[in-house]
Amino acid sequence: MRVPYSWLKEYVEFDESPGEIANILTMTGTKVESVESDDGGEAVLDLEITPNRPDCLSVIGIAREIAAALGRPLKFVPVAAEGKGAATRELVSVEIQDPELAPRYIARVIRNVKVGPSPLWMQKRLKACGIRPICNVVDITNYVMLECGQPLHAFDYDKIRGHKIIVRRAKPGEQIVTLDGETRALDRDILVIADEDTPVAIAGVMGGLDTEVTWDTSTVLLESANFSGSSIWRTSKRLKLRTEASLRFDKGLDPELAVLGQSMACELFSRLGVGEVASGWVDVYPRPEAPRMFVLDPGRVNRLLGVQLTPGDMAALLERLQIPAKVGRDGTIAVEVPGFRRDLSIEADFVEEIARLYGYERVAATTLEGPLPERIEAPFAPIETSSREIMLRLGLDEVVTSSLVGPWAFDLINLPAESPLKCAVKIANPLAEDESMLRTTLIPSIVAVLRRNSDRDVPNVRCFEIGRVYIPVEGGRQPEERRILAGGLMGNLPEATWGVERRKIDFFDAKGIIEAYLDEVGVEDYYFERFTHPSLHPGRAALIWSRHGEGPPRELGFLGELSPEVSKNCGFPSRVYVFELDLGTIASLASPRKVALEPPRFPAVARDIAMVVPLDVSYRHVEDAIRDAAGELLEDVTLFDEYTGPQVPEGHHSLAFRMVLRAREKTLTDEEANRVWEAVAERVTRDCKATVRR
Amino acid sequence: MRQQVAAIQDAMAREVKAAGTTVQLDELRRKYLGRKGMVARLFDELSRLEPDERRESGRLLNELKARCEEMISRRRAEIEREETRQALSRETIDVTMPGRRPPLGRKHPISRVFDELKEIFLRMGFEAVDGPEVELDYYNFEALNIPHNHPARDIQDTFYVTDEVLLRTHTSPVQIRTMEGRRPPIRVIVPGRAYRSDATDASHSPVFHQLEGLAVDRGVRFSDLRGTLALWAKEFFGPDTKVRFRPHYFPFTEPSAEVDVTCVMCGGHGCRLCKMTGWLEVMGAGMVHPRVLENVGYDPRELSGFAFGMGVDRLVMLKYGVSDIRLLLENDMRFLKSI
Ligand SMILES: [Zn+2]
Repeated sequence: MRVPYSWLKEYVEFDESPGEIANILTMTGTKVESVESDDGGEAVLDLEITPNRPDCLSVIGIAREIAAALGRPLKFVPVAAEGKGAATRELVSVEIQDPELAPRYIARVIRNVKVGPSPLWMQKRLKACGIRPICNVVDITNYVMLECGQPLHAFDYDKIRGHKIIVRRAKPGEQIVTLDGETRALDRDILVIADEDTPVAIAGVMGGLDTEVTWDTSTVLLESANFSGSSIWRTSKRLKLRTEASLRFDKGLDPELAVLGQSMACELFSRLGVGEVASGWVDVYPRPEAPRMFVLDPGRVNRLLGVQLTPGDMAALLERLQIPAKVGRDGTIAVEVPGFRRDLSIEADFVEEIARLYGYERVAATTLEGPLPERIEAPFAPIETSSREIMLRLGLDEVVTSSLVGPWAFDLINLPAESPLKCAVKIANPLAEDESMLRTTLIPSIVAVLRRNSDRDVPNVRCFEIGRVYIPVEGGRQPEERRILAGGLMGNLPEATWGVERRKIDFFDAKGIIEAYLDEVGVEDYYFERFTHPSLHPGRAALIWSRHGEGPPRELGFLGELSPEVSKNCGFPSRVYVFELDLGTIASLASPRKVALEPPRFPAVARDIAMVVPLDVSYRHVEDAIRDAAGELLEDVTLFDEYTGPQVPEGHHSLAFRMVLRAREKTLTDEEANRVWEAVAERVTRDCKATVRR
Repeated sequence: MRQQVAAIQDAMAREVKAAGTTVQLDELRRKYLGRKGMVARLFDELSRLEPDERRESGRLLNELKARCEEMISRRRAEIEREETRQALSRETIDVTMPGRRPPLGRKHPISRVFDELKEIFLRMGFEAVDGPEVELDYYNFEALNIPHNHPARDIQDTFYVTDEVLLRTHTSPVQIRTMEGRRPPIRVIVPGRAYRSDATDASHSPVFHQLEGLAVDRGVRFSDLRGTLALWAKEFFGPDTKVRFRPHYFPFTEPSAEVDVTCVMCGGHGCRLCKMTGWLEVMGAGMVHPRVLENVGYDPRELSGFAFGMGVDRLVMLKYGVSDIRLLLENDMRFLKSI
């Protein structure tokens, strides 16, 4: 809200500069966003008013805050514009049908109105506050609203049929053309001001075009009313129509403000010679509010704040805010809640008033006392932390991407129509289709990161992300939020350097990262199995399982090379590998507690074995056979060469293994090692269709 | 004899000095000290001498032999040193050529700041908890004293899934879930992701990150909140950092405050970043609203608490001098590797 500095000076005496006033207001809770200047170079404060303080949506409200902060009186003398001549009561009648939604309605009549431009000083202030001057009648209503916070509305009296105001809910099917020229459909939830026949205004939001004040208007019916905040808020939301009036009403105003508003306006009508104010007014206020009293316990105030103020100090601070407060004999403070402070309803509210005027900055800085709480931890925090750390140690960069995706995400990785991943949580009111649902897989996010980098000539990327996917649950209100570790690799290894051979990242680099990760995080008995996935190369994709613990094997995730179609759509210059692992499953299998292994005391014997194996016998089958045949003496077996080429028959490849053999309690002899070798050779020949090179 | 010895010694000294390789030295050794070498031949002549002279000449010859051995071995050491020197000199490399760096994984700045924050608060006895991002209206709004049809809802533009289910607009619902699940004392932080349907620009992203803090116990004071956050600011931004509390409004705290820290750029003198105020707003905070305590079955006359919530993306931006929030989720590797 914008308030001219000079206008404030009409209500409080001060010499402080606009900047100083801005700082004082900000530090007592009315934030000044900036100090600007209007056309004439006069200072205008731009304030942020929080929704609990509709009373501050006015010059008087801000002046009251300044007066409180400075400890000076508010110069405010309520005016009573009695009017003269014919009694308003004779000219108009008012009926409130729903006092719940419209607690109060005051009507006044101004006759012999000369519609014309308003005085320049008024126009200048309106403009400074961001309101366009229209004509003297409308400008007076806006001016008074800015000054005291009460929205007013001026009708052309002669266009109100029967000169009768009925405040009621709209009837189904009714509609109104509002001042902005829009035709708006109304319903039972919308409160309207109607004449005998039809709605003439949407209460508290906007007047109707038909009854608008025009240059020909000679008699004005002035409305100063009070409406239920939540009703106005709902209506304004429903109609997507926010006006200066609605944003004041929707926060809940003081019914007494309606009295002040109409009398300030009528005083201006008379003083500026715009018209003759008829005597008296019609005031329908069926259930007047009783004054609210509150008793404050100063001990509790001090304990909650961590300060030591006397009851007298507290009462004085409240008084400065125009909140009458008296210290009783028992030391408590009796507070009368002023009507304009509808936000004050519980003790904590008064605590804040005392604290902010005393000064938050004067409250000491202490440390929490008392016992430390029992230990609790987010269930996924440890696995997320350890997974992140391991991935970083493996040389991958961490990325963080948005969890909002759109259909692009599925298209990016070629998901078919029937893919269950397409069943996603959808946002009812998205900002854009690209961010209209929650992701069900991290792969599109990873691919998008790789693509963005590839497009920007960053060809070498090895990255991972730890994030959530959101899987709708049949019959559940909230989806299951699974923690996922995903990653992507592309480019050369090593990236760019001299003197060593460089090569493209391949499937086994990605697999090695996953193996190292699973070993480190403590998942045992994992294995890889070829599978097909619509986004992945049909011959280069694997599901990852673990046979760890009881029960059937558990699926941990998958890895693979992006299919040529996906890769081509993204314009990747090299092959791209991606993986996705379910951290929930991994957390349930991981046993990171390890027992230290002392170095062996006896030397090992190494034996190499090379063989030619048909390609349709899987490597895993061969390695399992070697391990099984070698038995307990086998400490480790590693593949150190794989070869296909002229020397190897078609459909076969040559595999060379190094076996490390060791006995726990003695040095192995050559004969013992050779026996193991023979056993292995015999086994792979028999079970793996292998031809062992001797 | 004496003259012969002197002559041999001189000749050998000359030749040893001239020898440039160990092979040449071996030859010299054979020539002088070998079984048929010059010294051996002189030894042969000893037998033809008188006993007195023989003893004296024997001593001279033994001395000669020892001296020759010494000359050769000294020269050998010299030559070997020289050969090594030359060999190493041939292996000289240009040390200004680039080193080969092993791949170094880098933590995303958002994770880094989260970790840093967690560490600071962990030391003050807070523990990290989390909760769902797709949240019920009740936890995100109602239980936090933000009723339906209330202008307080306007503060936060919300993504809805259904009327009752939404993407949490802050990490505060985890306050409620935590309090529902346990009795005080409570000291938790909630690092997490939240969503608002703000239009995207350099400082707004529909997906953003927050760190929430909550402490509830008997006798928790507003001054404890001041102390906790003052300590946090010094730990996070540096020992000279000050905090400033401004009164503000949040539906779920009362009293409420917005918290500023001295500008990281100018140290409080005023610059463009802080719009010449010397202060940067970094979070909202306050005493837990009594109605929030009541909503989880706590008695506000018995218990009190404070809560705070900071925008982690903004902290990242301040810490690393990032001017556009969108860079954080874009993951340009050149950007990520620069910090
Ligand atoms: Zn600055």
